[in-house]
This record gives sequence, structure tokens and C-alpha cells, in this order.
Amino acid sequence: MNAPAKTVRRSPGTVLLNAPYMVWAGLFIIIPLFLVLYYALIDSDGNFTLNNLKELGNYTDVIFRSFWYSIIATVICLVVAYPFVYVVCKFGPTSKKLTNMFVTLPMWINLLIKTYCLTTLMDNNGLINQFMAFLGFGRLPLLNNTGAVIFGMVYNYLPYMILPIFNVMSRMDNSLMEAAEDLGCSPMQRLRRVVLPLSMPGVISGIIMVFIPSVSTFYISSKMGGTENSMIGDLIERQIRVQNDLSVAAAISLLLMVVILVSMFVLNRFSDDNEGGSMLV
Amino acid sequence: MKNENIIELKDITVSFDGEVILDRLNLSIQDGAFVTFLGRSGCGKTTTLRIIAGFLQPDEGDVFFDGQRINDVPPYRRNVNTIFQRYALFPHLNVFENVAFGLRVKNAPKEEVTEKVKEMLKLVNLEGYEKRKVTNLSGGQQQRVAIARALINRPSVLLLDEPLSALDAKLRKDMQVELRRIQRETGITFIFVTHDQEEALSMSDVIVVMNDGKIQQIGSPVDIYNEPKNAFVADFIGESNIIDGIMNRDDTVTFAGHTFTCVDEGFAHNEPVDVVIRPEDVDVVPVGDGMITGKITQAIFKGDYYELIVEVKGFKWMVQTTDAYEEGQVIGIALDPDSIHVMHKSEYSGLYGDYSTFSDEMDAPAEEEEA
Amino acid sequence: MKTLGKIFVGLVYAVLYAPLAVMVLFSFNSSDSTTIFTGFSLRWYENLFSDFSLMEVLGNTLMISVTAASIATVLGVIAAYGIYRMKSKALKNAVNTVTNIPLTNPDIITGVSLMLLFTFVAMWLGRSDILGFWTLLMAHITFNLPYVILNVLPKLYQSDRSQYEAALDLGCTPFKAFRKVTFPGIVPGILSGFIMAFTLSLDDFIISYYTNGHFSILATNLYTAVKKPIRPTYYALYTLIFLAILVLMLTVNLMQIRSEKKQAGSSKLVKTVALLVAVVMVVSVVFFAGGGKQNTLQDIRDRLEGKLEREYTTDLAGTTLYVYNWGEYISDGEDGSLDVNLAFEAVTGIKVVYDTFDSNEAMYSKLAGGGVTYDVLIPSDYMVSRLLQEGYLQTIDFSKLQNYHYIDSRYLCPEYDPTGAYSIPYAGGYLGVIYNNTMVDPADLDGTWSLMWNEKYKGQILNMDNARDAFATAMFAQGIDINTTDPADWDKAADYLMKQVPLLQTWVMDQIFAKMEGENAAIAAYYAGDYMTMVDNMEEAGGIGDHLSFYLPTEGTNIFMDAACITKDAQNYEAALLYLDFLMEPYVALQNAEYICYTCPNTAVTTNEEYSLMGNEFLYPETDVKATYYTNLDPAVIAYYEKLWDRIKSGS
Repeated sequence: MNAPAKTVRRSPGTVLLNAPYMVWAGLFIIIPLFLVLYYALIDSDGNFTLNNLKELGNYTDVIFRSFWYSIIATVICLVVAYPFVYVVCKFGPTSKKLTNMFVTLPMWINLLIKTYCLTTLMDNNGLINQFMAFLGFGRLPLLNNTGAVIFGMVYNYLPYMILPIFNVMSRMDNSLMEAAEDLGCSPMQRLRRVVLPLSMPGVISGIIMVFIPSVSTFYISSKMGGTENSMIGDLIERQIRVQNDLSVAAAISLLLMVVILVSMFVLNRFSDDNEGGSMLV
Repeated sequence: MKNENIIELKDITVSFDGEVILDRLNLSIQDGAFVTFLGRSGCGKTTTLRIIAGFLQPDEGDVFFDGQRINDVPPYRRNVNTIFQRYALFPHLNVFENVAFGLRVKNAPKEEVTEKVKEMLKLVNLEGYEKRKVTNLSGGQQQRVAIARALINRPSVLLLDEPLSALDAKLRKDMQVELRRIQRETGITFIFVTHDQEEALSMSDVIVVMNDGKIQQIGSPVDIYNEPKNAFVADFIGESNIIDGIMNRDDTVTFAGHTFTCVDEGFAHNEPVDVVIRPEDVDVVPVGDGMITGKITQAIFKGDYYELIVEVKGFKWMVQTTDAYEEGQVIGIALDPDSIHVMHKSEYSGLYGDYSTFSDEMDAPAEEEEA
Repeated sequence: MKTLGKIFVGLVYAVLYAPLAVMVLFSFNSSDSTTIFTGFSLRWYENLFSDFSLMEVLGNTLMISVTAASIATVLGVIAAYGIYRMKSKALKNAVNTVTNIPLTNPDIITGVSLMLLFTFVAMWLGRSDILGFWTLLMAHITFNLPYVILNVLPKLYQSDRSQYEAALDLGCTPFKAFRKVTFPGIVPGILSGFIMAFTLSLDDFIISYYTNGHFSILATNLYTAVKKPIRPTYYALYTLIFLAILVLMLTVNLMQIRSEKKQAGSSKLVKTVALLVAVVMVVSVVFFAGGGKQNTLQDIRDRLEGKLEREYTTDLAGTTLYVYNWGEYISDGEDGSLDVNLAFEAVTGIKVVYDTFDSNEAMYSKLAGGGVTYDVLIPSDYMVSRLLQEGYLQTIDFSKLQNYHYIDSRYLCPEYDPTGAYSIPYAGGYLGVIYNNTMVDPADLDGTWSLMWNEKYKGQILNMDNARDAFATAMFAQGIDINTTDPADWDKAADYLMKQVPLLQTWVMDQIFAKMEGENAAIAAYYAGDYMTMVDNMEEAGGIGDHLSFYLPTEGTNIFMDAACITKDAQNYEAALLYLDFLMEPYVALQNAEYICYTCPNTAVTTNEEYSLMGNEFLYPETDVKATYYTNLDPAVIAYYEKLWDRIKSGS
């Protein structure tokens, strides 16, 4: 009886195993976040200041707009994705397989090019309006308004809502559905009392996965929103790329981070009552 | 026990992908009885259960509940509840809410729910478990929750789909007793599906033996054991030696080169038949005293008895005896008229009842996965 | 109910796939329009495979994705095993929390925070060229790692610890026991972690955008591409990617259905193998295209034979030159034009890495932000002056130039570079108003800037997406000096711009081409040269360029000159000099001037009879145009109007 049994328990190996990742995470995850904090609290000469945070007061419209639009986009995604998944799961196993594939497929095409194609469809003289004109109808102002930004977000992030819900719902034990029906649930009652609560983990990850990229988007809003729909992402991008003001960019990032952290915390508390972990695709 | 039929199935036919699962099945189930569907996996017993529950529509035939045709009544409007094979407890609800589910769906008043759930948990010996998560319960406890949940709506019929298969042997025995007690106490008709013949024999009022989508035999456990209708039933219930014979006339049958006196009547003159001899009914006697002789090819000590494989005219018999014998010994065999059971030939003749390839592994429970 | 469900599902799919259908359809278009289908052709596919720079970008993309995913997988597996073996619960929770940060943080914050890290380190090291392949790789590894760990950890927890102990018991060392017993069990997790990391790397845009420096990958390249009217070459590329993924997925799904009973691991293996096969195929295509490049370089050399004024062979061959210029501002080889950058490489062997910006301010921010530098810049007059004053430029060694004498003396020693030692005029022109003459009522045309504020054209007007130019439109309209230093003047102009906001469709720079050529907007302020380019483009596409008109507003307008400079941090000064001289080569300058349609300061061009734009009323107006140059303003004034501009853009 020698070494082996001991080495399992306390070997310097564990430290060695953890060291590379800890160093990496420290360098590239932790330090950058502190740098965001640091830059948010200094002025252009490197002195401590709270002015950058005060600057945020000038952007309350943008900030509220971003959260408001993202909430709407997330809700629309949910309202579309949930029945979509529910219906698809009823069609049978082949349909399930195909759904997974056909929902994933558009995600392989870069968001930039998809959004560009969307604008060629929706522009004042875009394909849809050309078609409308061809039919003799008037042209519709589809692009460069609030609706367009929200549609752009819904379009690009819908798969991120569908997939986690689908992952949960397609694996839901059919006998649970039968049990509910057996115990007297009409289809609507079954949806409310069994399917909905059981699919909550999927819904929650879906909400997170749609809300976060929506609230921080900068391409969709600037490309599809016209002049009055600027969002937080545009703001950060503009501070860095045009205003050359890293400190204000950092302050806005900090605010965004804090708000997301808080909402994640609330969501997680809310989902603690449910079984199953988070489902990131 | 009332003598009314609570469930009637008429000419039920079901097929999946061109494969016939149930073939013109007819069955009546008496109210208040403990009925067991017994058969191997794929024999159609679970399918029959699902038709009664309403999860499945028969391609042809009718289902009657208390004399009413219920083919088009959805499961949630049938006064029938089911215990699922793996219980199908709702993981998002605690024990109390699982049991209360049926009442909640009906929007029953709060006091009624509390009272009835309590009553049910008492019935299944789970008092004090109300707040537990169902995922943290043992298999036996989950089983009890499933029973309480299914019974709270006071169904006329409770369907049990192999409910004990996931439990270990000891627990299974306990639950058998428990289920029987609950059935007696509530007076609800139980329809129990299993592939385990011992379970069926010890619990049921009536056993329905099924194979290939057809009912092979319906009867009390004693009838089924003692008077199997064909080679399949004889083989499936208990151990049987099934030997080709000729029914010379009433009460006289010839097999294994000897003509025996029996108690079976009503066969045609010189009709070829299957003869069933249960291993425990064979008397082992000295060579000269027996009606036929055989040579022991294998002798296994089983504790309270010996199990012998005896070759009689090229056919291997299984014999159980309390006396010790050795391999290679030649013995005489004597049979009482009572212990000889004669059956008409059937499609199963010749398939079962020979112990040439016998091994102890044979009654290991088959994996039960039905469509 | 069931039909209703089917209709709904069908509708969702229709919306999801409509833009992709457009992409596939127009990848086969015979013209470069993305809204009018003029006929079936495969030219964009041919174009794709002969587009070396795009192929190179594709190669870069794969290199980053494969390397990042591989390193992240190795690191991630070690990390996951470490976390699995960790005994302290608190430490475990802490590490898991850190792992979750890149997953829950928006990409833009991960990108910005990494950019801050890299530029901070750059500042600390005193280096300005830190952003590039390595920083991009580190960024990709960082956002890939959590996905690998999250895929591997559950498999480790599922694995049977007693098997590992049995292996130790049988005499294995811990490493051998891990390799022989634990590892096979977690292979499916490793494979799916790798696949996920690879695909995320392939698709990432935002994080790459902040960390890539000069190193172009598909997503960042695309970001530049979609600012202009996209070349259908990109449609062709993404159509091929789409088809490849479709075939891959169908195959994997079919195999899964066939071997339903087999382990899930085997299908992961199939996926990985299929992925690797695809990567190898793309790499060989890229390599093949690399071979094609040599032929094209030879073709260019043949074309330039005897047309150049001087010898360009030097010992600098094999080095790289970084050039930063306006978008759509150099002849790029399209439609038989001379690809100036490729031509430079053909004669000198120096590879040009060419990036574009769409405003002087964007260029300035990138330089000032740190971490990345260029050798040659081509900003506008006032920005040259600012860069000069802030010490970003170095003097040009004119003794090594042979073509400088072609520059028109009118443009020498300008106000923005009084000694003329830091810049060489490249191209210039006037700002003006472009309008669609079928959409604008002639009665509304009075030749002034007020057209841009005409409420009749609400939603049809475009203004420029940079502060200086946008303010200039308002200032000219309001009769304010565009170089004023009085904040009250800027406030007044800002108010006037605010009034315009509800009337505007959007702010644009290079996007203007798609907007005006595609008749999506009626009125826009933009540069004369680009108006000429639009007319050219329209004529090439379908022969109708006559719906666009242009005028130089009577209140006055901006005149500008963009000039080439060499940066203080230039890593390849000698090559930069060669490049500047090459741009002034009579033949090259002529080709370039014809292509970009701007006012050319090169006398070899303006005196050349073949030059088709000579005498054009907007490029070389005969009468005096009332026009003013921007001057470099005091930093406080710049900060002041930039803040005003930020408010206007934010809508607050």
C-alpha cells in the first residue's frame, strides 16, 4: 500500500491543473473588468473623477430606450418562440429533428449580412416596397423607425429563444403529459399547469440569451433605426470610435454591466424554484 | 363484488406501421375486480391499457365504460386514472401538490383539497411527507405518491402500468400486499399490467393472459395455473412439461409410449393433443414401480427440493422432488390422473415445454418496453 | 387547430429564411445590384475565388478559429478537470462565477474590456502596434474557454470515480489513469466544446472588432463591406457557407437516424470529422487561390510594363505596409480598373494591408485609442493639421521621391501643412447636395442648403454621419462661419440640426451609395466625387444614371483636400515613401482618378487628354465656387461640438 491512494486526495497536481486557467481568467476576465472600473473613474489626465458617471445623466433617454426596446423584443421573441416550439413538438420526432436543424442553420450566417439583407428587403425602395408598388399599393415606411429596430432584434435573436425552450420541451417526458391529461387536465390546463412550469428553465435561459445581445446591440439599431433610435451599444461604440472618450465608454459599460448583473440575479432567484440548470444551447 | 361490467372492449384492433398490435380483442372487466393483464413485452397489454385510458384510439372496435361508448371521450373526461410505469410525478411540484393535482385542476375548494390529500397520504402511509420534493423520494415512496395522486379523484377504474418493475425485489413484495390492501379498502377496479407471472398469481382476482395481440386465456389464478388452455399459457404460468399425446377416448391419453388414465373429456376420437405435466406433480419411484422410465441428465439442489432433468424417450422433462438423486441414475415415473392436463393442439404446440436447453437464467425478467 | 399551427410554424420559418433567400438569389445576379435582379450569372462566384484578399481573410478566419478553439479546448479540459478535483467548495464557486462572466456579459463589454486591457498594456510598453493576431487570438480563447469548460464539466461529474480509482489500484499513475479511464468518458463533452468554440470564433464580430487591429477576419471584413453597397461576392461566399452547413447537418442527421441506437459520442465524432474535412477543403481552396495570385501579379506587371516613371525594385520585398484611407477611395481592380494596392505589391513585392475609415474623427480615434498604428494615412486637410500639431506625423523625405513634381503647385504648402513637409495632396473636392430628380419637385430647388430642411421630404433626407460635415451643412444654411470658435454659433447650428432630426431618414457615410443608387432616399449631402461615382455605378448596372442630380449650394460649401501622410510610428518608412511615389505615378494616378472621380491634384493627370473627367463642372468648376476649407480648431472647440453632436445622435 503506497502512494496511489494518497495522490488521489492531495496531490500538487490539482494546483498545477488549476493554475493555467486561473492565471488566464485573472488576466483576461478579472483584470479587464477592473480596467473598465478604472477608466470609468479617471479623466483624460489619469486623475480620479466622478464626472464620467455624472455624464451618464445626459444619456438617460438612450439607456431607458435600450432597455425598453430589448424588453419588447424579448417579449415578442417569447410570444413567438413558445407556441412555435409547442406546435413543433406536437408534430412528432422527425419534425423535432428538423426543427433543431432549421432553426440552427440561419445562426451560421453572420448577423451583419443577415441584417444587411433585411434592409434590402425593408428599405423605402427595397424588395418588399418594390413588390407593393408592383401590386399598385403604396410604399410602407418599414425601415428607419422603432418598429424596424425591434423587428431586427427579434429576427436576429429569435433562434436564441427557440433553442433553449425547444431543448427543454422536446425532452419533456411524454408520460408527464399523459399523467396530466389522465388527472383531468384539458389541453389548456395541461399547458398552464405542467408544460409551462416545466419549461421555465428554458424560458429563462431564452430570455437571458435574447435580452443581453439585444440591450447591447449597436449594428441593428444604427442600421435599421434611422435617427431617433440610438441605443447603448451605439453610444459605447461612438464614444470609442468617434468621440475617443474611453472613460465615458467605460462608465456606460459599467452601468450596463451592473444592470445586467442585477437582472440576472433577480431572474436566477426567480428560476431557483425550478428544476434543471441553465441551458446555453 | 357487483356483477356488472365496468369496462367492455369489443373487437378492438390496433396496428402501428402495418404491424398488428391488437387483433380483434374482446374483453369485459367486472366492477371492483383486481384484473391483471399478463404477457411478454410486445404482447399488447400496455396498448390495451392505453386504449382504456384514452391515450390511444383503436383503429377498429369500441370501448364501453359502464355501458357507454367512450371511444371519443378524451382521457381527461374519463373516470379512469393511471399509475405510470415510472410514475410520471411532476418534478416541479412537491408531494402535496402532486397528490392535490387532480383536485386543483377541478378548482376544488382549499379545505377539501387539504382534507383529501391528507386522507390519501394516510392511505399510502406517507403522512408527514407533504413538503418533500418528489425527486428526493425513494422509488417506493414515489410509487405511493403516484397511487395517492391517481386515487384522489376517486376513479372507477385504476390502471397500473407495470408499476412495480422499477422496484427491488423486497420492496416489490411489500407493494404487492399494499396494492391489494388499497384495492380492497377502496373497492376500485384495478387493471394491472405485468410480465411477472408470480405478481399476477398472487394479486389478481382475474388474470388475462395475452400474446401476439390476442387474449390467450381469462380466468382466476387457480384456473389459469391448473387448467391452461394451450401450450403458451401452460408454459408462461409456472413450469410445465408439454408432451405430444393422443387422446384415445374420454379419460384415456397416450404419451411417452404409455397409456394413462386422466380426467379430461370432450375430445375427438384419437385426437392429437398437448399434455401438460407440472414438475411438482411427477412422482419419482423405483424403476419397476413407474409407468415409464427415464434417465436423470441433471440434478440440482434447490434448498427445499431437487430439480431433475429427466430424459424420457428423447424428451427432457423437468421434475421436482424432495428426495436426492444423482445424474445418470435411471428412475421410474408415476402420474396421478389428476396431474395430467390435456389441451387441444394450438399454434403454440411444439414451441414450449421441452427442457433440453434449459438453463436457470430463463426466468430473468425481460426488459419491458412497449410501444 | 393543427392547420393553424402549421401555418404559424411556416410563417416563422418564412420570416427566418426570407433574408437568406434574398442573399442566395442575389448571389446569382448578373449585376452588382442587391435589389434588382437583372439575370442569372455565376460571376460573383468566379469573383469570389479570384478575390485574393477575401481568400486571405478567409484563411485568417480559419486560422484564428481553429487555433483559438484548439487552445481553448486544451486549456478548458485541464481547467475543467482541475475544477472537478477541487475540494474547497468556496473556491469552486468562485471559479465557476468567473467562468460565467464572459457568458453573461454582453459581447460589447467583453470586447471593450479586452481592448482596454490591450491598449493599457500597449501604453505601458510604449508600443503602438500591439493589436493584431495575438490579441485577437487571446480574446477568442477567452470567450471560448467557458463553453469548453461547461461542456466538459458535466461529463466529468457523470464519470465513475471508482473506475479511476480502480485504475490507480491496478498500478496506473494518476496521469495514465486519467488518460486511460477518465478521458474516454469525457470525449463527447470535449468534442462538443470544441465544435461550439470553433463556431463561436467563426461567427464572432463584436469582440473581434475591438481587438483585431490590422488582422482582418471575415466578420470584421464584413463590417466594412456592409457599410458600402455590399459586393455580391459576399453573398456568394455566405451562400456557399450556408450550403456547406446544410449538407453537413443533413448528413449528420441522416447518419444519426440510421444509427439511432449507437452512442451519441459517435455522431459528435462524425461532426468533428466533417468539420475538419470542411476546414481542410477551405484551406486548400485558399492555398489554390494563393497560387492564382502569382498569375494575377504577373498580369499586373505586364500591364504596367513601360508605363512607370521609375524603378521600384528594392530589398524591401516581403515586408508589409499598413495603409489607412477613406472607404471607396482607391481604385480596387473592379470592372477592369487597376488594383492600385495589388499593383504596388506586383512591382515592389511589398504587401499592402489596407484598412478604411469613414470619417476623419473615426480615423483619429483609432490612432489615439492606441494599440494599433499605420504607416500611411490619407486624412483630410484639417485633420492633417490636427495630427501634425499633436505629433502623429513625421516629415516626408522628398529627396527619395521622383514624382512629386507632378503635384499642381496650387496645392503645395497649403494652410493645413504650411511647410508642405508632412503631406502630399491625394484627391479633393466639394461638398454638395445630391438629389433624386424624379422624387424632388423642381419647384423646391432653389440651389440652397434649405432643401435639406424641407418638411415635404420628411424621411427622405440623409445627412452625413460625422460632426464636422453635418455641422457644416447647418452652418452654411444659417450663415455661420464653419470655422467659428464661438460656442454660441455651434449651439445655434446644433439647434438647427436638431430641427432636421425628425425629417431625416438616417445619417450615412458610405451607406449613401446604396441609399441613393437604390432610390431609397431623395436628398443627401455628400461629396461631388461620390456623386460622380454613383452615376458611374448606375450606368454600369443598368444604364440609368440620370435620376440623380447634384448642386453646389449658393450659400457656400466646403472644399477639401485629402493628403497622404506618414505616421511618426511608421514601421516601414522606406516602403511608405515608395507607396507615396507610386500613387503619383502618372499612369497609376490616372487610373485612380478615373476610378474615384475626385478632383485630382496631379498635373500628369489633368493635362492628359485621356482623362475623361477633365472639365467636369463639379470637379473642376470654371466659375468661382464659394467654398471654404475646414481649419483645425482648438481642442476645446472640438470637444464642445463633438459633445453637441453626441447629444444629437443620442436623441437626448
